[in-house]
Amino acid sequence: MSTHPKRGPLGVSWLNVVFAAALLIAGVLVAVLSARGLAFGLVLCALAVIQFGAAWWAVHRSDNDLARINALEYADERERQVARAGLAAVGAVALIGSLALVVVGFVLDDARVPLEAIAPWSVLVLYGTWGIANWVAAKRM
Amino acid sequence: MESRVKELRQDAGLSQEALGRAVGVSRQTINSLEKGRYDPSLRLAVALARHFRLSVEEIFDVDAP
Repeated sequence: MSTHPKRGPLGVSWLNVVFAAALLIAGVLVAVLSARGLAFGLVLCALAVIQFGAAWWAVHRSDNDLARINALEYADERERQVARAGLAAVGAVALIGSLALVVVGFVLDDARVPLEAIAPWSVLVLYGTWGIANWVAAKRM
Repeated sequence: MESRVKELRQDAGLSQEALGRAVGVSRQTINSLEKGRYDPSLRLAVALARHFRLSVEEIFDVDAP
C-alpha cells in the first residue's frame, strides 16, 4: 500500500519543485527589476536552493518525520494529518493577526505603519507558528 | 484507540521499520499506532489486518473509550 504521491525531479514532490521555482523566479525578478533589491533577490535565490535541498534531504536521507513534514514531503497518512493540523494553526493565527491589524488600523487613525515593516514580521510569526504547531501535532499524533 | 499491533508485531519478530515498510507507512506511524496516539485510516487498518491475517476488530479495540 504505497501512500507516496507522484514525485518530481530527483524524487522531490511537485509541490516543492513549484515552490523552489517560484522562489527562484521571484529572486531573479527582484534582483533585476528592483532598484534596491539585489541583495534581497540573491537571498530569495539562495532560499530556493536551500528549500529544494532540504526537501531532497528529507526524502532521501532523513528518518525524521518532523523533517519530512516541515519539508512538505509526507511519507504517509499520519504525516499528512499532522501537516493539516499545523497548517490549520497557521490559518487561525493568520486570521487573528489580520483582524488585529484591521482593528489597530481603525483605532489608530493616524498610525502610519508601512507594509515593509509589517510583512517580514508576519512571515516570521507565521513560520514560527507553523514549526511549533507541526512539532506539537507530531508529538500528539 | 487501543490495539494489538505491538503484540502482533513482536510475535512476528518484526521491527517497527519492517512492519511499516510492509504496509506502506513510516516507522513513526507504527510507533504512534502502538502507543494509541494515532487512529489509522480504514485503508491502513485493513492493510494491517491483511498482513497479520486477522480481522480489523481483532487488532483494534474500536469500542474502547
